[in-house]
Amino acid sequence: MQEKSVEKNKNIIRDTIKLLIVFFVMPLTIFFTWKYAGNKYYLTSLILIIFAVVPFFLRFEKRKPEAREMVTLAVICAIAVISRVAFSMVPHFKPMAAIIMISGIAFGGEAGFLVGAISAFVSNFVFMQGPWTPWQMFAYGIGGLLAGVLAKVKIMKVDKPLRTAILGGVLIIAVVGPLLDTCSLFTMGIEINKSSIATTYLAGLPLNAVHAVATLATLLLIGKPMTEKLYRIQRKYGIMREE
Amino acid sequence: MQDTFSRCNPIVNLIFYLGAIIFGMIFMHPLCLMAAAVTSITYYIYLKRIGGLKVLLGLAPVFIIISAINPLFNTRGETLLFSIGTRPYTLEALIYGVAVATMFICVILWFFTYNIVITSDKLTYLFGNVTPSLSVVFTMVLRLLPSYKRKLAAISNARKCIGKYGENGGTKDRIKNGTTVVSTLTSWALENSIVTADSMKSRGYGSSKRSNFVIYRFTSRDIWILVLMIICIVTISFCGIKGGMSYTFIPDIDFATNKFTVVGVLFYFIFLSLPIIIDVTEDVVWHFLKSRI
Repeated sequence: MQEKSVEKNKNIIRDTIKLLIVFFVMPLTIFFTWKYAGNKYYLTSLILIIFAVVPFFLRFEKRKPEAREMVTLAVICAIAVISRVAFSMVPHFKPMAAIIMISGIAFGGEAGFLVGAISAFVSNFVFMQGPWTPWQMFAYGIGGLLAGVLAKVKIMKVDKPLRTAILGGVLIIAVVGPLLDTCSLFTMGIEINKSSIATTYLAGLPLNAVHAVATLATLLLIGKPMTEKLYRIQRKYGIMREE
Repeated sequence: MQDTFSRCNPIVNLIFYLGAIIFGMIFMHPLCLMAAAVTSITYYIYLKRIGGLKVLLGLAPVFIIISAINPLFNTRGETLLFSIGTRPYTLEALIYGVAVATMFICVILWFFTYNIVITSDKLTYLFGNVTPSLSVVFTMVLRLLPSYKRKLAAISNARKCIGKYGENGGTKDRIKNGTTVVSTLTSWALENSIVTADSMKSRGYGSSKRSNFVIYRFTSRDIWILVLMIICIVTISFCGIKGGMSYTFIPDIDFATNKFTVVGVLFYFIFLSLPIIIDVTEDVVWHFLKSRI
């Protein structure tokens, strides 16, 4: 009984901290960076992204994950990163987001976020780290997280491959792609107004469309077998279960 | 080639890059931009020699495009150059574009050298104690990549025996081939992951506090550099808050020029030159040591 109430207290503290960050720390950050650093969109957004990403990492650390869980996570991230190589003969085909979403569907949103963020970070060791790294981590993380959430409310489902694949494509073109475009808008440092925003997103649209089609195709072809493989590992060894 | 700055303690490297990149994004005073441009280009060329020049030339179009694009979105400014349709193209906006482009190129160049100086083992050294589990995952992913690359090649080769070449057929066939290969890799990798994890556990993973791979020591040189960097950072921040680095480009161009500007820019330049100073000092010392023999 007592343990339960301690647990409850912890939850209340955690929720309070979350609310404080969202309603207090984040607006304050925007205010101070605006006031003292000029309208530095990139720096402000970077700090906000850190506030958004760090809790996921801290939760993972706090849980003191088992060796099996960590190795599985690493393996999925490595597959997501290396999958690009398997499609090297198809130009502009990026299957990484699809694999991140599959892991989100199978293991839940939190794992999806971690896989997305870590894969984006590590893939930049192969390509190049740059000001885009935190944004990519955030964008792909959100992709995995949303896939996990959609799977939890039974909108994305293993036995509905077409619907899942289309939703995956929509996630890319509506969420992940625009987030990456926002990064280029901020890093280029050009004046932000209606026309520059419209131009950036329109210029990004063709690339995002290709990315979305690649994600859709990968999810359609590989979604079901991959998810089942992950489910099997989950059931057989009892890992990566969402509480 | 010997890059002495890379051989300093990773904490020194990290603080330098945090400072260089964050200050680089905040300060758009022309003197600051000049300091950043000169130091970032010099350090990049020092590390890459002739090959770096090619990359720099490749960045030139990016510089021109960003400079030229800005006035298209920003029509304010006093001096009219010409107009496209009804939209004015002003000199102030163009100069602002040049400043933004310089800032962008400098940050990109700092990241170029960052990729050379801060290697993955330095990152695990820096964050291994703060995020032990994540850095294990991170290290494992880095280790798995080459191994999976080999496995992918093996799977593709095996599939060649049944006539499923990766390069065969149209885009549709190639994508299908790719997915099969990835799927096969996944089955093998997941099964393997459990073996790895069990092996880790049986060797005592998680039974006590994890230690990290550490080959870095804090030498007296590191302490001196660190102290110097902190003095620079404090001075630069102070001058920045006092308005020494303030600027406006639009509607008219105006820069702060007071004692804080002089001190701030001087310390900014010293801070950014640190890697070059360290490297060149070491080169000179070596030269004299060698010539004595």
